[in-house]
Amino acid sequence: MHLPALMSLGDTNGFVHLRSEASIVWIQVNCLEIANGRQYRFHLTKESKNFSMKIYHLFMALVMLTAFAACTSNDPEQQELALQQDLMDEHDVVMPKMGEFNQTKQKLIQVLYFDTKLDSLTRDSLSMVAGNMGEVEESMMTWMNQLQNIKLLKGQKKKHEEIMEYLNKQKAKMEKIGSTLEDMEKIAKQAIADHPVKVPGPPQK
Amino acid sequence: MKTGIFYWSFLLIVITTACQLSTNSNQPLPILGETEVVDGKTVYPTIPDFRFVDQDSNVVNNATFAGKAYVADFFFISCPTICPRVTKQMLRLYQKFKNDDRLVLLSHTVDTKHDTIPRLKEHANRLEVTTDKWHFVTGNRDSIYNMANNYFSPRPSEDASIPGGYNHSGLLILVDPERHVRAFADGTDPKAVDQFMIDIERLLKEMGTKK
Repeated sequence: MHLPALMSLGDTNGFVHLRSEASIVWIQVNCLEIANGRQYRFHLTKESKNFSMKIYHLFMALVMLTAFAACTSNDPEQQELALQQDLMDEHDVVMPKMGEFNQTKQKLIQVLYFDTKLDSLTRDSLSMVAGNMGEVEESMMTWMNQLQNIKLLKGQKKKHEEIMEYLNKQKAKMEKIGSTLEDMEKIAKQAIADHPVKVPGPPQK
Repeated sequence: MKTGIFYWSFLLIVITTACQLSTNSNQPLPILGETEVVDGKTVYPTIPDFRFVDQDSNVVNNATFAGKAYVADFFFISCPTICPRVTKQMLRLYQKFKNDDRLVLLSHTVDTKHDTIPRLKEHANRLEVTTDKWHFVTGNRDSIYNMANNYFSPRPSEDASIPGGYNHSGLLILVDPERHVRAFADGTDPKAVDQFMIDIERLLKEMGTKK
């Protein structure tokens, strides 16, 4: 386990001591806790007499952020979990768009069906957009079905670097699906606006 | 004197709250959605006709729920985030109303390509639930999305805590035997589902004798 560079300021008990020039602020951050047991615990003490509280809080926040980043960035398991979470967050951004995307695709198909005045070139290009939209829907679902989580990857004896590479690739794929989805939807919405059609309602009983 | 005022105020609050709760639980659940007036009568939106296939290859349509209330949701088996939490809450509903024939559960997959009938069956088996109580249905993807639109459209706009993205919102929808939407719940939130259970009981009470 690599201890962060910040530890060079520390003592043998794993505490980081930072002291401001004016000997006003005194902070201890226990990095050994983090390095050994993945527990994020900071022990902070201060001596503040003449220093403005605002400056003190700003300084504290900065030091804590730096210390936290330094203490955690080298833990491979944390890196994997963080990347997997990023991936899931990305998925949770794209997936809710699928409903509206599908409705837009259906409206575009209605344009193709009901607008009899479309010239053949426009018809062909809009047909292609509708087809591509169907493919984007497929690719989203296929992506989710082939996705493997860290537990599965570890079960396949994948190394940390391989897991990170896999998750990064999946994240790039998800981002690509998300951007394609947005592009397609924009084109489709424009076509729907350009070619308004009257769709007959369901037959009356 | 001060203690007396405090005592009576406290008692008044308790009685008022109890009355309020009692009145609410006895009142019928409201019908949700924008109404229309047709021939002088108020008409509420209804769930249109549908036709899907469940994990046992049975056709599931409106007739399947004749005389019954049901809870609908939208999911897909490979869903890594929201769906497992919603399924857990649907299981709570399944357990609670297992022996009440008046309520059925209906889960629509939005991944119609991969969630095949055998896969849905496997999913149901894994959850140890029976088809007569909980239908997992598939069909044409566009039809399922259209149904999702119909189920979610009566949702009050001021309640749009999850803007758009209804198909991945984890919402549960309670539908009565007349095809009216009567309640929604965030299926990822156990507390919201606790309240939803109370809503279901209110609807069942309104429907009459337990079968």
